[in-house]
Amino acid sequence: MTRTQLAAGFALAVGLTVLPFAAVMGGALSRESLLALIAGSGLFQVVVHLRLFLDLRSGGRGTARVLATVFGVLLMAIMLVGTLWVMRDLHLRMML
Amino acid sequence: MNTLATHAPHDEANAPDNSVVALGFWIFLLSDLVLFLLLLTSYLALLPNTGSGPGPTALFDLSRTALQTGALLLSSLTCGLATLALGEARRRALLGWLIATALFGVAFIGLELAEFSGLLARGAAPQASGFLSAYWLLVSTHGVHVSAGLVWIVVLAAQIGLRGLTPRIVSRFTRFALFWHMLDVVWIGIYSFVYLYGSLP
Repeated sequence: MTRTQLAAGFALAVGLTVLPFAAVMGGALSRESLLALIAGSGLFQVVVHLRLFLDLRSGGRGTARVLATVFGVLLMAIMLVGTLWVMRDLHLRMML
Repeated sequence: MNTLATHAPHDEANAPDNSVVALGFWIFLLSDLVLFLLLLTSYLALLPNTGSGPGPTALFDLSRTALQTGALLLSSLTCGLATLALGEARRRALLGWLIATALFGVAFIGLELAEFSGLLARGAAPQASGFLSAYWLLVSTHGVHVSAGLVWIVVLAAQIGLRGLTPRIVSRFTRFALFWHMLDVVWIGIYSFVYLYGSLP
């Protein structure tokens, strides 16, 4: 980690945190655009943390970390999307 | 006593390759991330199930969540500054940034405990509804992780103070820094989807 990397990561993280909080607390946007803003800035901030704070990058030993992370993210995406899909489907069928 | 004295230098000489240990610890952290993701998924699935208990809009105080987020983000910054101080072998600066990290962590836990007692006072206990069970399980699991990190900082600071920056202690610090930054990554998911998304009209 370098000083510039840390400063850039912190500045980006602050911006990406203030943005969704200000939008939700301000309450001027619609529910759909707020949800998109929360999810978008959250995901972007996770990438900022992984790259700049946790120093995740390919090359040398880093490639193994990146591969493990990509596999982990794939598993987590399957579990998240799969669970929400099944639960939503169940919910809709129970309503009938 | 004698075995301990002869054991210590031998122990340091056989310190494992730091980058291999860090990779193993990273894989452990990814499995911890899976745990948090599944708790967050059950929260999202149970969010409408408020039953006869209070809902998220009535319970969450976003200004407190913003303060908690600030405290944890600042602790991530000081943890990064500690890593930089370690790279320059400045022991005093490293200890100072570690203590700053712990103080921001304590502030975070203090705010969280204040929220928990407020919820209990309003009858929003874990058993009140499916939504609250999922909320308490997810947020307190993160809180327990942060508290474990605080204990880790105390042990680490004591070892750095007593034994200096030996290879083994440097290796331990590397793993602590990964653990602490990862808790902030988990918190991004929690404030975004538990608090902000939960508070949407």
